[in-house]
Amino acid sequence: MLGTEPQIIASYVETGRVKIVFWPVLNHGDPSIYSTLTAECVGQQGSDAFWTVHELLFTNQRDLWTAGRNYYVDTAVRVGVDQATFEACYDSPSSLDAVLALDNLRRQRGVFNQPTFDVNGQIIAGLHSYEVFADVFDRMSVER
Amino acid sequence: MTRLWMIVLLALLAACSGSATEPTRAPAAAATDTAADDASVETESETAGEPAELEPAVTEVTDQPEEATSTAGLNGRNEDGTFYRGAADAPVTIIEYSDFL
Repeated sequence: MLGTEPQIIASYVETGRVKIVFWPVLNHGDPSIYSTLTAECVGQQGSDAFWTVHELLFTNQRDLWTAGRNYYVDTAVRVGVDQATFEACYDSPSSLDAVLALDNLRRQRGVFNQPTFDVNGQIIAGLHSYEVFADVFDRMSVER
Repeated sequence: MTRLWMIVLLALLAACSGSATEPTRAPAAAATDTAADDASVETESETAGEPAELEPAVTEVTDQPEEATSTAGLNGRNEDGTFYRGAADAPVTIIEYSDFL
């Protein structure tokens, strides 16, 4: 959703009409894996922190191609989570397994490209304007 | 002699009344304009100064984006391990399959 997300959040999420679920897609090797692992480990310390780091990672997207462990630890500290707890999670094989499991599951669901959106079962592939999403949300709200 | 004094007096009066009006207005107007200019300059400089002072605050906001905290209290985690934001009973759920890259 990227650029349209703030508008959708203000108009639909904060008003209780839409719930957004983030499902990680790991299509770019290690940069995808470790940025998602960072989000996972920050999220283990709180859902609010997850969405904060989610925004931060998207905002600093360019850095992620070359980012290493120190970068991700700094990012986690920046959003206010406990560093030692984050590092323990980041270095834990079970955390990595959890991230990889979600990626495998989306493949099983037939989702191979990103971004892909599933709105109450209706698949929308690729980036679209706010108006496209708003139209679908409004229609879905009426149908229910 | 009296006539001579009268002529001198009239000449002085004429000289005073003629020149006193114009210069008084001109500087007054000029002063007002200058004051207005100064005021607008001050206003502009104050206005121009505000963003400069706000610059670091904007950077801090970028560090911790407002969007991320705007749904605080509505954020949670599903049993499958994914995270959501929004009311749990919202009529519409959008699953965003995406990479951070």
